[in-house]
Amino acid sequence: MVGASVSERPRVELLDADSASGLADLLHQFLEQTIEASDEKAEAARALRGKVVVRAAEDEDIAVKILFEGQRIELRDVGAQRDSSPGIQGDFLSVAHVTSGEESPLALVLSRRLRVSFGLLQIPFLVRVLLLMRVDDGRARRSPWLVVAPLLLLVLALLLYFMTR
Amino acid sequence: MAAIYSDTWYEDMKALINGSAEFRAKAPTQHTVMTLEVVGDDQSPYVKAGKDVHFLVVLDGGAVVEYRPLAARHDGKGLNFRFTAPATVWEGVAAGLLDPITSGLRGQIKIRGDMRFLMQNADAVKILVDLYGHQGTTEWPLGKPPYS
Repeated sequence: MVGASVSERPRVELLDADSASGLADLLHQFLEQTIEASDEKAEAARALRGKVVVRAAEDEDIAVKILFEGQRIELRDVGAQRDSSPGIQGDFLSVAHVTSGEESPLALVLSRRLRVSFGLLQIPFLVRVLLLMRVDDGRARRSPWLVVAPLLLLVLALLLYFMTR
Repeated sequence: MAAIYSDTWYEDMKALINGSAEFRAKAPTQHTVMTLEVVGDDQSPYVKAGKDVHFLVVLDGGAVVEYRPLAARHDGKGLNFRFTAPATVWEGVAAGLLDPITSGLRGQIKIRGDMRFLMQNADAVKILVDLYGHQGTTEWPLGKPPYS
């Protein structure tokens, strides 16, 4: 499957690679390999427009902004800086469990091991990013939570939104 | 008890990891080859600046089948992962002073390899590095980190 023919896959670029954090380096390799391994993932990545910040729970000063621009995906360290971009914060194991399908994002959010911040209109984008980052092998496909969880997360977010208005 | 980087130390580490039921339950069953690169620096009394220590860890069938020093840097053939860090970082981890996951996220430990596989086997990675960091059996004949 690796190297499957797609005319032009999105380029994944890590800014200031020589001084990048380990999280940025890991996400850079992860996205490159994910897009390289699957035509579907390449198409999904190309369709994304927006930005998301992934922040490490182990050290809040380690955060990476991922900018999806269609044919180009840019990663850069943003450190402690915060803005209105949707964000995901979790420890290494929690993030790994989401990508591998071992745990649902919803369960991790409810147990506060994963923290997400987003505006209502950013939810579809965030869900699509989570789906892109899910490792699609046999093990991942066996977990129905992987498909259901983002939808439940969406419903929960809508409920929270209307309850707190 | 064995001195760090001694032949006995490698054997002890292998036995320690294979003795963990938790690790065996989570370890990948497929053949996985990793190398750890210890880059000498000005602080470590064990690996001086300009010198390197390389060792090989091979997993197969959910157990460590090889854990041994290499005479030179691995050429990359058949290699699944390469972990590289300064000696003070590796030794800080082995002494239980540094969390290896946080060190990895900060970029103090450089990781090259299949990140999707790493994510899928994150539990095994966590157990492996916790064992490495909390074994408490390593001897430090030239002094224990933190180095002054």
